[in-house]
Amino acid sequence: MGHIRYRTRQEGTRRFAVPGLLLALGMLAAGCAVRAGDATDVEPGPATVSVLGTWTGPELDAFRGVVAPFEAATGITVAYARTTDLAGEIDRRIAIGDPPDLAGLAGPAHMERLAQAGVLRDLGASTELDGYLRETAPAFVRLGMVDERLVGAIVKTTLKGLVWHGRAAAHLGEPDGWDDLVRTAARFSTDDTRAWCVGLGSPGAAGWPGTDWIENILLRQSGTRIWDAWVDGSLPWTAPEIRMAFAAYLDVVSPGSVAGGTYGALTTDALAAGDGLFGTPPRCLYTQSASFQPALFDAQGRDPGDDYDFFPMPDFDGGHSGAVEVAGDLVGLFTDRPAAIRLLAWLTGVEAQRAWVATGGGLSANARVTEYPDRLTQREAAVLTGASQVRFDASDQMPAPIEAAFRRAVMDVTAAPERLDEVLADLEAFSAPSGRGPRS
Amino acid sequence: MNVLVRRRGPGGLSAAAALASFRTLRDVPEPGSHPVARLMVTGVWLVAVMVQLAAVTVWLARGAPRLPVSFAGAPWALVAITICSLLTLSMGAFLARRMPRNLVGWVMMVPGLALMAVLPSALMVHEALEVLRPVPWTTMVVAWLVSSIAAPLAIGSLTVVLLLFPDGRPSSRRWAAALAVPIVATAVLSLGSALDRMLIWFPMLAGPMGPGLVEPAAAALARFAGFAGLVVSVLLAAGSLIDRYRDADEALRRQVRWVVVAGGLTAVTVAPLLVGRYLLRPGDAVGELIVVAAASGAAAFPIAVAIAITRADLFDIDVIIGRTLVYVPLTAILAGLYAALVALLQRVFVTLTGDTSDAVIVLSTLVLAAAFTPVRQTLDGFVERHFRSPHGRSRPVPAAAAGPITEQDHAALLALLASHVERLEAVEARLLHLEHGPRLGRGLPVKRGSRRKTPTA
Repeated sequence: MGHIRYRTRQEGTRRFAVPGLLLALGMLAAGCAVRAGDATDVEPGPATVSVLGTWTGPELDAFRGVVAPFEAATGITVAYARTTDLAGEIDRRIAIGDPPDLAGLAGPAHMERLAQAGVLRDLGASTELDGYLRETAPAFVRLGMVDERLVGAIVKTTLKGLVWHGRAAAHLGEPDGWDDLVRTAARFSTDDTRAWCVGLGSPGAAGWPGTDWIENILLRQSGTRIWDAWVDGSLPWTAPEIRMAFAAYLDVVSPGSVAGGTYGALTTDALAAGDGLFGTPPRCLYTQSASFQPALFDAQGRDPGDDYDFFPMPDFDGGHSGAVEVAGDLVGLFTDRPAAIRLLAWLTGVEAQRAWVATGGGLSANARVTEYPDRLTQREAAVLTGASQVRFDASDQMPAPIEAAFRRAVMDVTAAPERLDEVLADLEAFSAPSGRGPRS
Repeated sequence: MNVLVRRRGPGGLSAAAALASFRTLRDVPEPGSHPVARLMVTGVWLVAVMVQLAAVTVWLARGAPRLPVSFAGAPWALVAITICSLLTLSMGAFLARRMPRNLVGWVMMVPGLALMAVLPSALMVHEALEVLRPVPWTTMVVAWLVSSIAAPLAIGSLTVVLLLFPDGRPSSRRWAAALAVPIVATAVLSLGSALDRMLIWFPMLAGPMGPGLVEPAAAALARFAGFAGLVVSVLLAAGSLIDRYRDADEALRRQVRWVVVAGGLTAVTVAPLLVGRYLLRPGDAVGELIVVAAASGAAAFPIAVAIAITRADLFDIDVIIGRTLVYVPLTAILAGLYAALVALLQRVFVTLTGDTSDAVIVLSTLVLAAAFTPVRQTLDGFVERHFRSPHGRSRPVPAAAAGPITEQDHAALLALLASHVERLEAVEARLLHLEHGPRLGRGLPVKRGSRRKTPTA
């Protein structure tokens, strides 16, 4: 887990199936069952903090583990409610006058909308969160700011653009560049073991892995200046740089390159794509994913470093090096209850962050957290902190309609690559009137 | 004709003292006087301008991105601040060089220098935000200092300039006491900002002093007190200028008219910045408008001084004022040309070769060197035609001047003598004015209800 966008749309089948203990108790007390994907009404008592989020499965377990010491030390109960539609559920709760104390935010664009509506509290107004200001990388602090006010806090970080491989490609080593990777993959791939596993399927959010592919390619091909112009809307979708990134992505998902062909890429679930690295024979040599991937592999009993490993997506010839894409779990405060502020301060504090990363599958934005549970995660953290430039997930920053159109475009061009120019022109026509970036 | 006559000294002035004072305040230095001060001013100006040009070049080379400075992150806001700082510093440096004993020039350099720190510090913070590592301590210190001091210092010193203008002294003992307000307010507001939990201009950075040193409420109180003090200072400055203007004779009024208008404009535009920055804290969009308005208002002040100097002979230094009017725009034009060339040629190189090139810097420098003289000559001609006052123009001596004296020469000499007699009469009138009060000597009635005592000899 770790990035906001797909928490909002695909949680139903991913990592949000197991409600938390307190939530379950609450539901039992209410004598009702909660369907997967539905939000749960929580009636916080004086010493209860309601939290609305999308975590489930291992992520929810990790969250429970992190808040348990807080609950024990303060006597405050954390009542967690899950939803598959953060934006919709938050709007609904606000409309009925029952906002959660804390809630995950669907991304910077969502955060900005809520902040401008005046429903998010200024985290900077509370001295309890001074630790967050001091210990968090300023780039992340800035990400949570709207109009001078700190309205979102990053509680977990995800590093994007990592190429994962299983034992089948372990001996191939880390390539010198993108072309080297393509050559190596072509040389060692067979009809049974293709170069890439790609899964674009995701309930409610199909195509998001493709957007990550294109964003990471663009970052490495054209650099941060082009990236920034694209994100803020000053570079059209039809620009040569954007087209070049799409074209490179289409090479990856070409029928001879991707496991299962085009149909396989379109229908494979995003979270299951990495499974193709394992098997006899494996269905692919590589898959591109993020730093949450080990949590999925570990759940299958795989050993990090032994059964699987990663290297950062390599640079493109003549491109730009040193930049990485990140995402983060943003949390907003919707009430002024001191207990909620205390919980947020705890979640972003160094103690909770250490505990959080110790559970695996996540990186911390807290600069004081430098120890990770295994060598592989330590390497992920090193890539993150060693990057010369960092950019936040582009599609997470886009207004929801544009982001949805981007995902749809990815699906369309994957199915029909010859329509690339037409699809990009459509995207531009759709995006131009409203602007595509959160700040535009 | 200069206006730097002290009208009301404490307890009045004798005629001799007034004459001495008049000569002192006239303050057009002889060649070679105050060499250390002049050298210092030139050095400070040069270093500051070079640093600013380097910062502008770096910023443009990066595509003139939005920078992470609150209220001033938009390119147009940064441009407004940069132009304002260059104008203010240049005019301050010019006056300080020309009249080292007059505080106006020296104090006027301060807001220029303070504002010049905004762009470089914003670039440093921008660099730090590109990565997920702790902010380098140098960046942190620079950001902290700029965030804490720059705005209060710029606003405070501008108000001091207005209180001292034009002779470098407050117009009375009462206004001398008023000088303490901006000085104390600047210090208090800077201290309150330095103790803030978040840097006010770079709010994504936590203040290094933070809440550990003092209670946040105490820091907030200090900021409010400083803010209130600066608001009062701005009002006092506007009042002082208006007071000077109201009590001035026609010559002085003519000379400071532009400056009074600009001072009022500065007060009107800087006040919203104070309120917005330290009290209301609106969003960046509004904040940037406020900053641009304040920078434009503040920039009007040096422009007005330049107009007063050239059109109304303020400070009686129009003989060489043309240099300022030539070299300030020359600097701006060359800097703009250089920046545009770098950006354009980099784009061409990237298009042709796929990467940036250092050759762009070399090419741009060569073009700049070639353009220097023609641009300077063009500006010189323009200023000569449009700005320099008739007696200040430095025209080449015609060849006929070497010949015998003609009837026309006689007429010209008589006119020159007449003008000198007029000047002497004006000096006499001023001495009378100093000896017997502002309304005497010109047959004007003493203002009714005046709170001032008639000075005694």
